[in-house]
Amino acid sequence: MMCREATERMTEAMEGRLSGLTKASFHLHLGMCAWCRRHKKQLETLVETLHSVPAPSVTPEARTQALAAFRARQKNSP
Amino acid sequence: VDDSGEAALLARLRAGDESTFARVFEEHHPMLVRLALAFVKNPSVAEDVAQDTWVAAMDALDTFEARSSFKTWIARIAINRAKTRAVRDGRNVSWSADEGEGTESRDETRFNGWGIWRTRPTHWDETPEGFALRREVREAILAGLASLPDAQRAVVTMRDLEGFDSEEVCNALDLSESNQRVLLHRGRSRLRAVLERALMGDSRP
Repeated sequence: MMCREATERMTEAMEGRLSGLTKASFHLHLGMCAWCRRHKKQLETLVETLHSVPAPSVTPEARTQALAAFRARQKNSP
Repeated sequence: VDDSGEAALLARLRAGDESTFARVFEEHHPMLVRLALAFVKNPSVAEDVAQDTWVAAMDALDTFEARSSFKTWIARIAINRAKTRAVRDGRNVSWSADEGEGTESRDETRFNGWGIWRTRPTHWDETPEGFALRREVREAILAGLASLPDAQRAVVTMRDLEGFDSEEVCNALDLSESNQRVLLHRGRSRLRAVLERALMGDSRP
């Protein structure tokens, strides 16, 4: 396996979907290739960065609007 | 939330308990807005979609069968409503796993004829937490995410922003496991390149 294929298989590897000979070749290549190791590390860094991006905060208006809808529903139900 | 915890929560919602609703709203509303944003792109429209989602979810509460978690169930409602809204607003939501294939081949220039790196990945020396805290880096990633093809953006948003697992994403987006993985790979690969460019720009004196 060369760098091109190794980079194409990185998500499969991170998802634990590689098996058999492909898995062995992938790990053999990564063991030898610092650039592919770096590339994989960067994908992992990207994923963790995305995880750490804070969600937009709930505005008071959004909260009020939703609660009003929830109350209206209670009134209308039998 | 474990199963019994979720059952109790649903019972309180059905009984009209406002403090339970307020708690569930705080927990899931930001996620619904970000999911909607993956389809409609306009933040105020995404907020509308998320609000509509709560109304629809509370109306459908009695039909919720707990075959999925509450989070997955309400996420799916938001996604369906966001898709409908995007189509109504004249956006052509593309769901082909092959979309963006053309630009993908641009990556080919990174490798030589032997399939070995020609343009090597640059060195990054910051932690993910550090990146997420830097506004310009965060904005570059979010702009990159916004510019991904629709299906890639939806998958990356669900998997990496919101932390759904691949099975939940396949269910919510009606994708096969392999298509989901291809879309995830392409989306992440592009965002890695976006991040790399942002960091290179950043290092200029």
